[in-house]
Amino acid sequence: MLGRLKLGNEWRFLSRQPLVWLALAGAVIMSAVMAGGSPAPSGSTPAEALLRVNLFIPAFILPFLAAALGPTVFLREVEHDMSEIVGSYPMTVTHWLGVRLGSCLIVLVAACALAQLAMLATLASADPAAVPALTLQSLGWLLVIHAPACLIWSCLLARLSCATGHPGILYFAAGFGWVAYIALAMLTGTPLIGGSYVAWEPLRQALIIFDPYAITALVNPMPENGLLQSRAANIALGRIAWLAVCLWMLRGIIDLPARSRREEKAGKIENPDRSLLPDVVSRLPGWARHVGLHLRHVMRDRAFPLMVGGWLLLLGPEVYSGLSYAEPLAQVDPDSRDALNRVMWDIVPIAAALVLLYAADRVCRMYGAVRMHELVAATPYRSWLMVGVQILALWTVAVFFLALAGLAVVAAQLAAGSPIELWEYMLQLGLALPQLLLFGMLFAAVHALIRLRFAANLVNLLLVILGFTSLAPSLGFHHPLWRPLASPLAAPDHYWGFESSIAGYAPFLVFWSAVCLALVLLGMVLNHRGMAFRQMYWRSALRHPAIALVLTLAVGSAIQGRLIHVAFADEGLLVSPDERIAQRADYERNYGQWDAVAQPDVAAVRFQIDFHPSLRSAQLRASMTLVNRTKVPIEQVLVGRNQIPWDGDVRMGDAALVQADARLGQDIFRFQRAMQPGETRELSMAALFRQSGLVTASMPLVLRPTFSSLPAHALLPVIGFEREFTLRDPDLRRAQGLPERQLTPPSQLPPQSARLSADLANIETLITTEKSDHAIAPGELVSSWQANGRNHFLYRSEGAMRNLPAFYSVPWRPQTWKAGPIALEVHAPQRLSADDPNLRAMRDTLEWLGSEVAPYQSRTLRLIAVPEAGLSGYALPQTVLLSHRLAIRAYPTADAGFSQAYRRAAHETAHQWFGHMIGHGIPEEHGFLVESLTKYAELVIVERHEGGDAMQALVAYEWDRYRGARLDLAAPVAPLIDAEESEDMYSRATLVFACLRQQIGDEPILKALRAITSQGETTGRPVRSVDFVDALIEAANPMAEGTIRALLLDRAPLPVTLAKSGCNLNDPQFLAR
Amino acid sequence: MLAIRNLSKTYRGAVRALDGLELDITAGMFGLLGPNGAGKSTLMRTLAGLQLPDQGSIHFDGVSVLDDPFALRKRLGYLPQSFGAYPYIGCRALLRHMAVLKGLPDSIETQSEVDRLLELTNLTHHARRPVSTFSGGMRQRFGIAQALLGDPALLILDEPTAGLDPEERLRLYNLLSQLSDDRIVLLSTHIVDDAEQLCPEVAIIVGGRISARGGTELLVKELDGCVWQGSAEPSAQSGAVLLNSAYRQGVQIYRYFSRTCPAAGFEAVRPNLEDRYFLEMRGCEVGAC
Repeated sequence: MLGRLKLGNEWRFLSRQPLVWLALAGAVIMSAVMAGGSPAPSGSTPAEALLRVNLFIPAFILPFLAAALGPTVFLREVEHDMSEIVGSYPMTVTHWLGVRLGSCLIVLVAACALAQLAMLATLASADPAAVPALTLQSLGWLLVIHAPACLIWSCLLARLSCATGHPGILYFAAGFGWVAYIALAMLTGTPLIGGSYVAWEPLRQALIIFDPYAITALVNPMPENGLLQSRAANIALGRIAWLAVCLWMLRGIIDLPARSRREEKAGKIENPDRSLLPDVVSRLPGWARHVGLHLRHVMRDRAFPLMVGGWLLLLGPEVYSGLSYAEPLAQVDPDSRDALNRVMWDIVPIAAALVLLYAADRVCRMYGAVRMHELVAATPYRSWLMVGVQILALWTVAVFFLALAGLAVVAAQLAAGSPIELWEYMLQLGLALPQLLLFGMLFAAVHALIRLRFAANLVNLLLVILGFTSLAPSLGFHHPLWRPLASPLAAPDHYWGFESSIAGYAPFLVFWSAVCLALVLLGMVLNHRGMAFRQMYWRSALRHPAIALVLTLAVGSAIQGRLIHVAFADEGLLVSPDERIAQRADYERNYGQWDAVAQPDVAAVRFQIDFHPSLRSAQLRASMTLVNRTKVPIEQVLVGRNQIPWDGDVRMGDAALVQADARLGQDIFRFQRAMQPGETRELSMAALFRQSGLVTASMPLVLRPTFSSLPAHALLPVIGFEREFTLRDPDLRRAQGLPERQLTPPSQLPPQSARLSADLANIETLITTEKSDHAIAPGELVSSWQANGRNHFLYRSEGAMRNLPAFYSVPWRPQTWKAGPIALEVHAPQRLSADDPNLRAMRDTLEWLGSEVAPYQSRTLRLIAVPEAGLSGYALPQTVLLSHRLAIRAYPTADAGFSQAYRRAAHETAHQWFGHMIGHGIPEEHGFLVESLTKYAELVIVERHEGGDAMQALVAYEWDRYRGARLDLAAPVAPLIDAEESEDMYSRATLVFACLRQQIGDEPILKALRAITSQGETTGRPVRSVDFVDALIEAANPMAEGTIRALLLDRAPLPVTLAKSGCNLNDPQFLAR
Repeated sequence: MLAIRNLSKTYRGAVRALDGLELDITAGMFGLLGPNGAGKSTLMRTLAGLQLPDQGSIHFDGVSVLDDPFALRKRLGYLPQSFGAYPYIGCRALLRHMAVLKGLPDSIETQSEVDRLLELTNLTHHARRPVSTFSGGMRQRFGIAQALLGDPALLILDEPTAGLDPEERLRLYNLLSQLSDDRIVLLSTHIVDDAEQLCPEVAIIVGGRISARGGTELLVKELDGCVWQGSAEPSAQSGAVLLNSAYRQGVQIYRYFSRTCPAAGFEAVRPNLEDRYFLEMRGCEVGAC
């Protein structure tokens, strides 16, 4: 059988094709890069990480391999004009198919195996002992995922090759297969790329079986009832179904000769004179006729109607299905901005670049493809006109597909009954177009400069890959200019439109325009005119008048590039992740000994802040009062930079700077006179923060006209050695030569000697901003006035508060409400109604926790709606930050059962207790006391105010999230109070507290919370999770101790723990679905 | 023996490429002459099983080619009018690759056969170079070499001398003559000189039909005494048929077909195959001689 496949003979051919080796090498490099930047969540086991990176092989690598190898394997005769010769050889279709399919399959599987090997080598370096297990697992994935995927691709390529005989169709199929699968993955919550969510559950259910790569079944939780409960059975069923599809495709190939004979007899042969561009073309001027000719060559390609169809098919359903999506169980009333945002800033640019990549090959190699290149090259047809015509043709293609994208979005909006705003379309399409036009220019220039068609296409493909993927950063090239034609422009939102990124659009566009224009001019001068030979000597080229313009543009782009570079460097954005890691390692190495050196605490901070939102800048001046709360004199103080680096002035009263470490941002001050216990000293700092806007805004430091945020807690100098700034990841520590970090899990923490007061400070702020803005700071607003055309505000804390100051400037007047004695201050673009879910949640939480646990510690609680800048919700002392889209625009879907906005607002409000009252002071205690207890508060508040059904819906939602995050529900877990994974801290905690409430009720839990809160107040020491466990055991019925210990301290899998505690996941009383 | 009966093929637009063509060909060199668009390549492709006729039959040694094209392909060597070559793969490796495709074993014997053909087509010195980088003549020699793989019983060569320099052309003549001893070598060409030098039998195809067929010498002999040459045009009343006019060393020479001397100054000349070819092109009956 194998002999009949003549594999040796195929190898004789394939082994001599550079493309085959390039494809194999590319697969290996991409895999190593992907594995290096492992997409698995941190803390994943090597086996989980291996599965996650393995998913990239079919989703990201196989389509490229298919496009690269398909024509070589199946259409080599057509591509190289050998059809007649080979067609006269004594090979049956079945035999031919066997040989080609076999070789295609073997090469693809080999590529996958090599890719796996690269992944294995990368991942195993972190854990050599796991190599045998990982190897076995890799073999399993090869059999279950990759080999069937290779078979599907091979059959599809064979079918399309035989049906069309056109390489373009194969390229199209590969590109479409790639983008469509990613779109499907995004819609079904498959974690291939960020932003995935389950937008359409029936689709996810269908893909559990019919996913061609079986990824959906591998990474998603299986349904808990019904026919699809067994993961293995679903995968097997899917593989069998796809095998049947493959056989059907192959059967079609074997039938093709007979069918084409029938069609030939029936006169169904395509009319070669058919024209898609009618007579209009002949009436156009010369250059336009040339453009028309090139366009006709693109449009008459068989791949073109498929591209148009595929384009509409890709965009229309994507927009329609996710038009109103806000987050799971929440939706918005969508408008054109929401609709366009679905596709315009991720799918459209990359898909359009791929379309242009293909169109560039058709347009720029048209004469070669029809074997007229020599004739045309011999005519006096000017090279500049030749390239110019090609660019115009590509621009037309770009405009056509962009307009088509707009039409697809309009159609989706009409189908969904969403209002259509013409201006939004003009704005978004208009801003998206320049990048595509530049791609057209770049591709044409590359084709004009590079004689070899294959090499030119490869370079263009590389440009697309560099532009749209994280390949360059993965290879260590972090500079933004390594992403060809990229600009920071991102999707607009309803808070501030394009403000997060528009400032960086023009500078990047100018740079890339100059680069592209220079390359186009160079291409016009050095154009090979389709010939395999150089058409001009270098010395002649250098004398060409256009070269002066090329040099001018090159200098211009270099200057613009330099400006961008300097702006990035000034904002500290050019420090690579590797350098950051090295700095953190050096910080520990060089300054670790300061952990044991007595250092003063910050007792008070006086700020003077000047916001200049329209200039994207802010001046920060701070005077910090340091107090020696130790029992020994302090002679030296280590003053270091915080999480966000800045250049500015730091001075210490009565102290001299004895060492300044600019790289690590650490200064050592020696006091003239040692600081005695109880004594205070002043440290002052001043810095100007300015954002160029070249980077898309992201929290926490944002300086924009409509929203400015200055997170002083991440900017103020740090006194002494900060353990939180050292490396935690064991692999990174090992790689940096650091000793293993001894982290004590919360369950084993001894009683603490640290003082809560170390985290507290009196804060006073004089803050100014532009006259149209309102400024916000921690503490109570003492007074406000206008002077010098600016608004001034004086804030002061009433006593020591958690030292996490952050300042904001927004153009909205504050809306004030009351929650008992507490003032609720809302800063949002639109006025909230009295029954707004956020306000209700804040009121309900303040009331319940204030009465049941401890009084709220301030007179004001603020809600600041924030734009889309990477934050859904966050809590600072006295301040709750909530995403404007999720908190204010979104509302629950019909089947939600509870309101995400209400839940989130309650959650963030509850952090005023869990996080800012207890849960700080011990670095190890950042999980249970902060997040898990907040989830408990969420449960109770939702039940008290939204009803039992809403609470049960919330529990069911968290159970689904937990199952989605944990592939293996039967694996042991860390005790809940020690857990650091988000699915444990949030989702598992919800289920555990739901069970605890069912088993012991709320009263013992509230008693325990009251006990640890008052313990913190009375002792002045931070409380531990074990203090809560002890208090709970003491407060509860002695019979419940086992349940409490099992739920909070046990390592058994969650379903086991719940069952052991009497909470049955199948009991509708516990988990209603 | 190759027997072609009533072979017809019409392309879209009513272009009749083959029109009830009938032909029997036995072992030896057989020339197929015809102008561009006469249907030669269609016939060649149809014989090679690459294209289906609308009607008719083709039998090779009693086996229907249309019903069982593989029976013929196993014994066929085919050189199309134009072809390309896979890139990057050297000439010898490509020949061996194609030999296996043709059904030859992937063995040392096949390698020897490949080397012999390289020698025969004078490509030994270029055996490692990719065929895609060959000049037109070299590529044509490669095409001939691949056609000869497997010692085919039927060799179909469509314009084999295109692009060959005189020396290579002569070499090919000799090679084909040797090969034609025990097999059919079907040579399609519009270069009459090729057919006259090589083929003991020829057929002239015009408008998809065989307008003349027979021994080369006989076809020429039928014109004996009817071909006249002179340097002036005779009057229209003479009834003579112009075969061709050409400048020879600056003087325009006319050749006419006529039973009698068409005009003063004309003299009877020895006819050649080109005269017969032009006569068939003009649609004249030889019987008129």
